[in-house]
Amino acid sequence: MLIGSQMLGMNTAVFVEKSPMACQTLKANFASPVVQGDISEVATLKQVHPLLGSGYLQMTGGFPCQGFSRQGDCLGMEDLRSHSLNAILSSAWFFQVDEVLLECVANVIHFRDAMTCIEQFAKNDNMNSHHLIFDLQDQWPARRNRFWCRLTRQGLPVVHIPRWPTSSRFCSLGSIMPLDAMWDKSAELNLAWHASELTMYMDPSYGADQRLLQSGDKAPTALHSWGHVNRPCPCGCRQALSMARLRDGGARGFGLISSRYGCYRHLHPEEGAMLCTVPPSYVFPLEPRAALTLLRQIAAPLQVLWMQAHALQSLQQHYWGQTCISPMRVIEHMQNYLVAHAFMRWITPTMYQPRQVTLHIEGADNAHSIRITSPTTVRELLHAERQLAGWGHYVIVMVNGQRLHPDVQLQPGILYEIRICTSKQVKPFPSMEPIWGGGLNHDGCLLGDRLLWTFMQFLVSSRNMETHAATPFALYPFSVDQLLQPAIHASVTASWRLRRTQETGDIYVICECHGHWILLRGIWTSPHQGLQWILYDGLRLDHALPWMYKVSRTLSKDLHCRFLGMRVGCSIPQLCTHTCSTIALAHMAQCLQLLDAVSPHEISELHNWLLTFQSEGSELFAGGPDNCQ
Amino acid sequence: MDILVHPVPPGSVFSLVARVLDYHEGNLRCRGISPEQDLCIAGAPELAPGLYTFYDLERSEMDYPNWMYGAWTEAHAHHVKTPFQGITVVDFCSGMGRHVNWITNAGNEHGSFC
Repeated sequence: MLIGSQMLGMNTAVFVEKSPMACQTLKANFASPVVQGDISEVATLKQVHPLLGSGYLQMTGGFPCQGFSRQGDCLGMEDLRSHSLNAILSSAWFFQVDEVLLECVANVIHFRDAMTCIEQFAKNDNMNSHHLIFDLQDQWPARRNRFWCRLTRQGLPVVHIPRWPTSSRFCSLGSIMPLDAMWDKSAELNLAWHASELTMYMDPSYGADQRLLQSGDKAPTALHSWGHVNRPCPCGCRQALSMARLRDGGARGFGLISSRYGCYRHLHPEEGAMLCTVPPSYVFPLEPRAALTLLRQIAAPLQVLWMQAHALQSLQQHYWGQTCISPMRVIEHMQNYLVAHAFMRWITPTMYQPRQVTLHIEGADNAHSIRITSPTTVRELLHAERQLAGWGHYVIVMVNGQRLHPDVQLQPGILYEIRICTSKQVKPFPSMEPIWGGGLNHDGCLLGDRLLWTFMQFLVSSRNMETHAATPFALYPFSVDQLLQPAIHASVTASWRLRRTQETGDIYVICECHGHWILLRGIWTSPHQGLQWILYDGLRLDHALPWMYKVSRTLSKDLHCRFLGMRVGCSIPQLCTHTCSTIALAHMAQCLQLLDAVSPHEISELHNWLLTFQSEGSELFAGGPDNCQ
Repeated sequence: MDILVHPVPPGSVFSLVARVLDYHEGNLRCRGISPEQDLCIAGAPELAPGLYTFYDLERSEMDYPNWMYGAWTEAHAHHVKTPFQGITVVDFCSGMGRHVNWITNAGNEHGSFC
């Protein structure tokens, strides 16, 4: 019951479990100690007692339902498994707990011996008792009618916990999760109904149960036999149910049609968890079918939350005179969390269809649409944006001001806000082997300023044809040395400013620095009314940074814009001796969203193609300095 | 609630909750809390006064002292409760381990769905 309790800040002193499989799962999910043992044995109690602490202590116990369930043999306390109830209550006495919370099937109320056992314990040990029966389906589209009993030490407030109201929001399966989610292949194969299961479930002589969940339905009560009707239970509680019993009592079970294979399958553990209101953070270190059997055994966290919220509310009121807990709001919060998870993170077939996702980078004037054709997570978007933003930056993706988890799937019709932040503490670049160009010894392989300008203009006009966004502002390729001369003629800078009034998009400059072409991109940032510069350098030459920093400052000044800094963008590495010009053009094309990822091999091919357009008239040539320059 | 001490036959092993009143020459003088009854435990280590759970106490053949602190006996103190700060849970049978004896298959002759 801890899953529901933990959400209210309750901590667990210790878990006591007998099943190795259950212990394994508990250890995978909680840091609290797990004692594997039988609660009816004193040796187990001796192990547990030192872990109890001195705070307010509540014992929770879901006692076995097999003796009381209509699905079982209804032997009541004569079923040996029902004796766990006695063991729980006597342990509560030995531990002198303040409170006991019991859970079982609703039908237990009709077993006088079980009720007497509880009432007698309460009377002998001076505890008040209050019980309640309520059904999960009133708040969540899954049937689970349970008996809850709260025993509290005398002197503590007696709270009569009400049944919860009926929800109009979550009344069908389609309102809580997609029913066509796709899971990994091995899990789906594990969950696919075997021929024997299919035959049995489709045969009315094994019961006329609903076999296929539909969007408008409520799910039938989940049973421990989930996925193991005709095979031994993986927890070791029984062998395969006999055919005679299955015909007499019916073969319980339901499933879905696999979106991946088109066959019937059992629910995936994540789907089963969703029906049982188990949070998605809960992990099952078991094969999928085994996980399903455990899920059924967990008290529904939403119901636990209802009980515990009332308990904690009354205790806070009693001890502190005030409380801020609202049980109704607590369960609504959990419901919203579960539903958001299912709809935002599960992969469905529609995510393999082409769709547009809208992104808005903070400070930019316009939103951008990108086309995706497969499930794409926020993590992948973060990675891509971080690559573009460069070293020392991180990215936050938000919707309506709320930061998104990296596992969220991008959906059409939502505006994703992207914030690019500068890391407060940046590690230096990872050490790399120095990369050098070929110097000026490869005349025939170097692109000149005129050719670069031709293609820069071509990119700008292509961009203008693709979108109505502001026209990019590009400058003729120049030498850094020339730009940094003390005085550029005022008429030149005036003409730039005049053009800038028309071409208000990002600024693109390809400049030659020590025999090497480098791209600088200036991004207009509206909130700060200035230019943020990004440098793309395939050789990652640190010595170019001060020069380029000066260039970006000078250009900002000449354009009468505030200088907001320069950062290093993640560049395509220059692996050939002379391709820096092509890399600069490729980066410009990427920034203008005219080109996707490009490999070094493609750069080389592109470079050779560009060389075929080389004509006379260029004065500046560069290919990247060699290690002698 | 604990057992009544007197009717328990000698040699029986039981656990109970009792308040230690004092320690005198290897004997612990205790007072059971439910039902209220006097106990004397022989062969016990010296324990400070307070509430304890005694696991695996052995019923002696004498009326006084009437219990023995045996080789397997353990006494676990109950801490004085700290002011309420929140709820600490001891999770028993979280529901996942309703294991029956696989050898005897006790209570499970016919198998069960639930």
